[in-house]
Amino acid sequence: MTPASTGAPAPSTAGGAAGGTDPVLVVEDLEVRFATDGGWLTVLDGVSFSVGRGETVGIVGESGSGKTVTSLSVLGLLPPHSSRITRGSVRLDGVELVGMARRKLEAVRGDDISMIFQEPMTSLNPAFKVGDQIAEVVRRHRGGSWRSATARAVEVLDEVGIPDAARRARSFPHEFSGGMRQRVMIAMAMACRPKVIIADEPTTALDVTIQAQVLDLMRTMSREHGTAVVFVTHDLGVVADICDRAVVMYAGQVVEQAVVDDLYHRPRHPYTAALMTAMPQLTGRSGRLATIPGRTPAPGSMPAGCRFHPRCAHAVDRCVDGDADGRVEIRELAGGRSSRCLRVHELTLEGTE
Amino acid sequence: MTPSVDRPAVGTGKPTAAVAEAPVPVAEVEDLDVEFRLRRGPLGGTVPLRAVRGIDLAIGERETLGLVGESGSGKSTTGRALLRLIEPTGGRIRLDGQDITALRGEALRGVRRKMQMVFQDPYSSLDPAMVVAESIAEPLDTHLALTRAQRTARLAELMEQVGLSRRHLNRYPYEFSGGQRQRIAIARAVAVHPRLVVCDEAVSALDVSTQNQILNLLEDIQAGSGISYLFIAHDLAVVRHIAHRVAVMYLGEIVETGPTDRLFDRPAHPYTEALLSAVPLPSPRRQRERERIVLTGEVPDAADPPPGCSFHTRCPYVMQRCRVEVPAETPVEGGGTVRCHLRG
Repeated sequence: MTPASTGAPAPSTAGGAAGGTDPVLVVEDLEVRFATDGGWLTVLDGVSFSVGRGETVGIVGESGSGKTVTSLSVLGLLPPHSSRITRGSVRLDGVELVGMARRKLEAVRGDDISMIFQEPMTSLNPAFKVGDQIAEVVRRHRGGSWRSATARAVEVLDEVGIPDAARRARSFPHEFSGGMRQRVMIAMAMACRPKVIIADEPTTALDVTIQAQVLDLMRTMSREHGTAVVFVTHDLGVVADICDRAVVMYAGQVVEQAVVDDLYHRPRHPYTAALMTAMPQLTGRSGRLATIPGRTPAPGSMPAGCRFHPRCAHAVDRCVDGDADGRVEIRELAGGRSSRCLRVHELTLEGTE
Repeated sequence: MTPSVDRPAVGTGKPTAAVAEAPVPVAEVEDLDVEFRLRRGPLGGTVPLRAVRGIDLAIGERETLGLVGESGSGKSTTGRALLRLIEPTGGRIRLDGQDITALRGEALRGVRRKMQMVFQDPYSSLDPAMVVAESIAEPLDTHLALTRAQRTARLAELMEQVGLSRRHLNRYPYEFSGGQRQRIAIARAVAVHPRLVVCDEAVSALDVSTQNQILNLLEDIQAGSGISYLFIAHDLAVVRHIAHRVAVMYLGEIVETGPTDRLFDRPAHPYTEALLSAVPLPSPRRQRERERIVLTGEVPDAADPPPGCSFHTRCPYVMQRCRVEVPAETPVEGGGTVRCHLRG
């Protein structure tokens, strides 16, 4: 039984805002296009956010929001022939990753930046023992003997709470349960002490009691080693639990950014507010569930002006027109927040707190 | 065993305790057992796995019973056994009071009309090569002798009921979004006026706004037709919203049942308590301030469940007695039952 509450107030605006003064990861004006039968379609439209050292930033949105494309772009893992980054920059500790030669990027990936995906079986090779797979990552990036790399693998497996790590290092991935396999993935991602980990729905496939364990582990690892985490998820509960700040995405754009306490207290974009209102509550039923009418638009058929306006309860005529160029630009607000809503200064929206 | 304390409420949606002449439940399982053979013994031998271990459930008219638990708890197996999609190894299944445990052939087909299922992925239940009209009409053609005109009218009515247009009838499943496909699966399930629909993770793959549309639709159908649902889900917030009563499964057993509000507000079993406590609240402040129980360890191997209380290996309140003695079913104040020595 672990009472997890510390009662400590979360950083409200200072420090957390916009990744602080010394961000470790800066994504700026990223535009990504995918090849389709109808030509190249823009799927990410000017995505910008930054992540401070040791900070955990949630990228939250529904399917089709572009959150996974964002994480894959940052890692340079977009499919090479059917997609391209057409604009923008991804800087890891000041080093530009967009346009970096593949070999060089492979050296960065797994070392300074690493990743955890929803299904560990897709990232672990079923034919090799997990200890050997982690040792391989260590050897590749850090060199040294096989013996010392294996020792490091056991050490990091022990750190993520695999019981009897020295013996379990000799097991194959299928010999682990889903939760333990995700711990192995975290061990592999942490093996070279990266500056940033990108975690894409890492707990979505897990049972809720196991999810709680994995979230606690990620929190501890991030705190102890000062690792920044980009946590991609659709679950506003998970964001509230583990993130310092959140970036809300809709239809390929960032629509809102804020420190989590501010975001849940007073969302400043109607889409964020609509998501919060729609979430069924564990604490009680309240009549009919709220829905968001319509659905996320597909790339290639984005509405004019504000992309959310056809589904927005607060839309007015000028939301269709947008700003001068027919788009709606992001508005910087006090407290390091931002919102892509034309009516941001007129609306008071309800959060969950 | 005191099945009477957990009689489902009928009609009112409000649970009542121990009603002597309670109406006959729509669906009922008694001491249900389902065993699989796992091929993992030495020399290719098999070992038995009791996926469901002696459970009792009853679902009343116009009632939604939520069945929750983690993977491997036996909740899906229970749903499938109830519909006679897999053979139980023991116990009784009754539908409207009729024992259907041993029905075969034509007799079984007859009762199948009364019980339908909606799965997580409608792609698995809708034939991709069939237009929607054929998929929905399949149960109509199997169970009802309709004229061509009646059939056409019923199809249009069903599409309207699930919020689609009759123009959609001649399209293929791939032309629809996930939410629309789930609407089609629901239309197919309710086409022949079943008494019970088993929803197995029916909204788990959907985004929250679509999920809510489907949940509202299921509630509308129930309000209109009096249908009953066995709602199997791992998302506890969804279950809190839609279920009138809830049963919690762990390692093939039901460890707690009760009216939804009582069970969520005052869980009686340590596992229910831990399960609720593990769901992150969408509020950073409340999430920081709440007392949380983080269970250690993982669910034990279902082929080799622990003796005594099956939860004792992970229970924060474990006592010596829990390791040896199976806890009996005990009534809980406020409704329902629990199997825990703390409450015995």
